[in-house]
Amino acid sequence: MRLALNEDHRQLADAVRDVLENECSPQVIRAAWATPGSRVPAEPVLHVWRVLADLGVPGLLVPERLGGLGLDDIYLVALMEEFGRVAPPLPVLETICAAPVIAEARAEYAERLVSGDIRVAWAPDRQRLVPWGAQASLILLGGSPASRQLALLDEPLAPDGTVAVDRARPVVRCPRHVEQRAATLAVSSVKVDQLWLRGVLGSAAQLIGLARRMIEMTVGYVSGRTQFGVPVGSFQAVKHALADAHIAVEFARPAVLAAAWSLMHEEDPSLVARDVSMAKVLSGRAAIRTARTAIQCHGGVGYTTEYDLHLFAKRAWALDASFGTARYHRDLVARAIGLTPEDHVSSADSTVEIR
Amino acid sequence: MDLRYTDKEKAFRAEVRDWLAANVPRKPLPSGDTPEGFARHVEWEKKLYSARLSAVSWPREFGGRGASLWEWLIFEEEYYRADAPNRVTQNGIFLLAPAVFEFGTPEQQRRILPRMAAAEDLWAQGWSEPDAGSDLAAVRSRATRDDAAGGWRVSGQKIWVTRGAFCTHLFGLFRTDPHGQRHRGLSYLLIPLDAPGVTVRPFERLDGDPGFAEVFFDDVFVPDCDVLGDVNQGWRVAMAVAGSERGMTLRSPGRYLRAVERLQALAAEHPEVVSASIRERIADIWMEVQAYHLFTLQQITAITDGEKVGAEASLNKVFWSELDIRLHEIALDILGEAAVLDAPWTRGFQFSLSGTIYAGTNEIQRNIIAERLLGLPR
Repeated sequence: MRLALNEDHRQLADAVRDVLENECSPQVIRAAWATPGSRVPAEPVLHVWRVLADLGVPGLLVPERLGGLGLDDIYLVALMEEFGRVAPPLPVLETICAAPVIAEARAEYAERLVSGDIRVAWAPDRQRLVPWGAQASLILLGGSPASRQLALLDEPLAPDGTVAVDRARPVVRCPRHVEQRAATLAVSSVKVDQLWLRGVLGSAAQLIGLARRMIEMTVGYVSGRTQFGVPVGSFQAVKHALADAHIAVEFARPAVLAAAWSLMHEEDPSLVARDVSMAKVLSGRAAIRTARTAIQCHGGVGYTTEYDLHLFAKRAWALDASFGTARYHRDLVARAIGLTPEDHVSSADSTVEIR
Repeated sequence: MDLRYTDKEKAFRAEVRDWLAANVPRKPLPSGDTPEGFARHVEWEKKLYSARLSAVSWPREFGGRGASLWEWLIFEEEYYRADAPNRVTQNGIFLLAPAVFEFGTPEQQRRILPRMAAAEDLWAQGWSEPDAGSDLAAVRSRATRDDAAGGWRVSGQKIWVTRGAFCTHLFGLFRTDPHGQRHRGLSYLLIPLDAPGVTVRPFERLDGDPGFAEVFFDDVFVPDCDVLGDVNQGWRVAMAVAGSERGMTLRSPGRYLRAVERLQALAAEHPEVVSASIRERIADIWMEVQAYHLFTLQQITAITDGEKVGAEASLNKVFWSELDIRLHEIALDILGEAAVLDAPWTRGFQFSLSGTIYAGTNEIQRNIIAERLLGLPR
């Protein structure tokens, strides 16, 4: 029995962290904020993508025989936590998850996926919002439990004026007439499940990274900021709020790791789904709580867009609401442990109508 | 990474499960915090000891079976799953014994540990005093040197001693250096509660159990062989094992895995009152229990790898103690007006409220988390 990353996981995660610390500063996120409606990412953003492509990141989950790194779901969560820390304005998770599916179903795309030549945007729930949909050359539609048929569009979506809270993660709708042009992908049911669960889990891991980043920023700030002659971080109220955020994150993290193992090894699909949903609930709640605590502990400074905190808070809010909300995943867990009556059904699709 | 147990561990689980199935009393024992109940619980402890199950992780020479931390975790899961009696030897085994293992002389280990495992000696922690609760370093009970007799003369008072009314021995910190300030000059002493000069005054806990006690020391003689660790180094001895009290060893995940099962069973018995919101809360608490379990697996992995659990134990403590309250609040909600009655769930609820107080209040724990784990300024 061991619940920990192996040395190999740690090494790759550390290597990626070093690269991201150097290459994906908040300035990169701001460059995306400045150009949300653009079809081409700003140069600093493209630079990050190229660096990731050089590392082989897009092909993380693509089998070696198709040119990928052939790594597994534990590497996925280890790396996605690092991506969460820097919140790159790019469909990293989407491309990583979609690449093996598309490469197997449509071999002609394999090489360009693995090389990073193609960015993939993904809307798991087909009629909904496609993050970075205007900046990707392939759009994958479907995959969520309510929308299992997969389809592929080989062109970016047109910007449609939709404004996201996180402008470094611009979203665009896929209109029905465009969706009808999408080509069906023949993918086994098992692979569709895996695709969705990887998306959920990858977003959970990013939420952990985002939360940790926000805690670090806040600890740094309150340790230096003085009022009444002392650092505000010495006040018990501030300490306790940060302690609570830290507790939430530290207890969510092993659940994300365990869910990755479950995704790889657990034979009962309902238990896998339960474990992945649990990881998303715990990590989402931890990140939401942390964002609130971080903003509060920063005082007025945290409540400006001039300070970097909002960049991470907004990404956390976006990811918490995506790949199934906490409500959806909690309901899934409730059913899995025998709590919800048969006729009470919640789906990832059941949300407020967006006009 | 591997979330499976080995065959050896599975076999251990089966052995423990079978033994408990054959031996756990069919009817629950009366509360261990009452005189009659305590005696019955001691009988139970002796039964555990005879199967080498009272302190599984101890070396065999002291009455254990050299179990690994994983096996200890498994034992705890099975123990709670079987609804086995409360462990009245707990404070000795989990709070004193680690200090004896680390700081005790071979003579002390031979004298103290086997009798503890066999429930011949029952140990109570004498930590708090009226003026020294969270601020343990404010301890005032003193011990004056008696060279002629080869020991110390102890005078003072300890309070909120769990099961102090029923235990045979007490361990605590006493001021052996009259000039020592705060944590300096304290010694860790081991004192029989029937020693001349010791008076035990029981009083009732909030949940009605009379096991709590004040213990008064009036010139009680404590020989040198009952000083644990070096004289005036008591604080260091106490702090070295503070982590285990706070964290894992005091409240293993097995306890809450079983509690949430019982909560689910309670809900299943009362479907008519279980609303969507209660279902949601149960799902939430179920997830928190799993999170606690997984966090513990991660922590044991780290310890097995040679890492030390220090201030991280404060994370465990805050998490399990507050989880326990929330879990019981859901039960009360299901019970409705039946919560007016004295019963296991309402007792459990009352007891859960002490969890955020004992083993270091959660306010102190949060300070520790903030200062030692996050590095916030003191």
